[in-house]
Amino acid sequence: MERDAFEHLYLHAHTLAEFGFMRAMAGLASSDAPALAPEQLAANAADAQQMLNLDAASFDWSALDGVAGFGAGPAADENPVAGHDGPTFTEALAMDDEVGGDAMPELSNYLERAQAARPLLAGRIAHSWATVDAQALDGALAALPGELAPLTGPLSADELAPWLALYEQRHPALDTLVQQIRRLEPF
Amino acid sequence: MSTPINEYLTPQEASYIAHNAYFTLKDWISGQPTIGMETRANVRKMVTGDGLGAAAQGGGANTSLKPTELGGAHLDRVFAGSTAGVTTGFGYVLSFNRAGSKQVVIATRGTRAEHSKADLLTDLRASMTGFGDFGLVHQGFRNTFDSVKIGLTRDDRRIMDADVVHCVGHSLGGAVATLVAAHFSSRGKAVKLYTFGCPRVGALGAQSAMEQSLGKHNIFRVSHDLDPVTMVGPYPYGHLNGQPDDANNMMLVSPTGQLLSVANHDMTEYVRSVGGTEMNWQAVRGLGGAVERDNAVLARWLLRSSDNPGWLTQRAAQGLSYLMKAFSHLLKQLGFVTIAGLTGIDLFCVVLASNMTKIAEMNSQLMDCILQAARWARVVVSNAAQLTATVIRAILNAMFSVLRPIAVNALQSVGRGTPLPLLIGGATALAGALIG
Repeated sequence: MERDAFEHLYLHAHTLAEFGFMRAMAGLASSDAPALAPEQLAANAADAQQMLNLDAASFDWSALDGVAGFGAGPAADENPVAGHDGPTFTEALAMDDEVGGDAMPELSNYLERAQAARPLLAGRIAHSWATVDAQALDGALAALPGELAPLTGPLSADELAPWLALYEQRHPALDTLVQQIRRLEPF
Repeated sequence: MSTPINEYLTPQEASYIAHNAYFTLKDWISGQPTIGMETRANVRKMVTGDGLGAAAQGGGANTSLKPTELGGAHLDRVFAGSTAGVTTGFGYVLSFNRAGSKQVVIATRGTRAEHSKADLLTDLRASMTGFGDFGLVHQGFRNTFDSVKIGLTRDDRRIMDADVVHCVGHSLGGAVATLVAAHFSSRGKAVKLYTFGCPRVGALGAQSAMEQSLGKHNIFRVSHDLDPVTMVGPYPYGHLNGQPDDANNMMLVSPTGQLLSVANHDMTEYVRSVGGTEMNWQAVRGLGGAVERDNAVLARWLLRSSDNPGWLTQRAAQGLSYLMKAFSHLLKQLGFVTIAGLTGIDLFCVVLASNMTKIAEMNSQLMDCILQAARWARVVVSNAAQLTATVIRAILNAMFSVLRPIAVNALQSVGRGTPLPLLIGGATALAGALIG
């Protein structure tokens, strides 16, 4: 695989994962859970109170082992993943207006942004490119549906949309590919 | 809830006192503080004197108590405190008579970044230690309290003779003030506690024990909704008066509107928020009603402020926002209202510590929420049976991986005149308040 093809794949895989995640969460955030009986609600409320009022004797710290900041987890000031050329606060305010705050972004807008961010992602892409198992990647690509526009080339939002639908349906081969790319990231 | 006049400091008095505690730092008045303690004369000038010079440091506000009812208060002592082994001016003791009662103020200052990384390191030490009969508290805060306690020894009689003791502080100073308040309360004093932008001090029942000792109505917790420092210290740490329905949990709209910012932590911003002459506690409580208690705004700052300029990473922060929002929404629907008031990272800590996956098993949407989060965190889980503690840890660490660079950036971007930096303490919960 050529580096350029990998860069497209990198952007598309992360777009599917991040955008798909956002969309799933946005859906859940506006969903209605089945109504519970008042007794069950009260019991749950009591459980919640109990969770917040654990005493030192009964709290099992080992449960948090391996979490950042607890036990063997990474220290807070270790391994910053990038430099410091992100937006200033003022720029951030301007961006806030530009992207419409918390509103769920359009796929076309998201994809456009992701592609525009390619130079900024150069370091991360290079890291992933250097560590990728090319053979495994080729295998994962070969298992994808052949009728869709390839993820290794430039895609429009319309072309990526069916991939997103497959990802949201947990298409096994696509899921494997996306995870493979995602796991190349340093964290 | 009405508050008797004279028994309590007014919001203006409390905020001025917290702000002026910074003037105990040597040369603070000049704008170029150094390690050491300011002279008592200079501190008096700023606390009850003409306050000249304070305007420059206070963003335009002269916070001298001179024009207030406490203008005649007597500055008893400027005391030192140590953070991570560095000793500096840390606060002052003020005494006055009001309505026939002898009252004492103990003011403690917060972290300043201009010269003292030691202060920041104290905030970073998110370990726990015992604190009397109260339980477990933050080791760094306890260490600083111990050093302050030595400084207060010579005022012990004055404090113990007072009818009312007011403990006041901002940021780290609020944390230390909390321990000072608990200390004197445990010795039988009537103590009032006023904190601004205070991080979480105690854990696993300690906060409840301190609330019980002080009386919840005597604890005035003021915070800006998007002050990141108030989120420092994850579950099982908790705030005094930290429940959404606590009357004196006064969470105000942040000066930056709907963006999480270090500026929201600055004491001068708290002075602007509550330091008006006309302000009383009832009015401050009223201001809290204007807060849009939605976590999404928090992560929106993450979206904007990540030091990783990649659009994907920035959007990852927004993904976190949605995750927290969904999780909170579902928990509330299921009746878990109290824990829905935690931050997102807190919630996943709760899941781990309380084996909350069992809860998820009874609701498919909640389960889907966690499974999606696991997938986002690069862990392939297809059903509830695979949802182990390892998976939840992976989710938490993925959250931290987005949040950590932001905190590091904030710590490294400190400069003269900038607001206090975002502080991260261990597994800092910067993931957003889920109070809804």
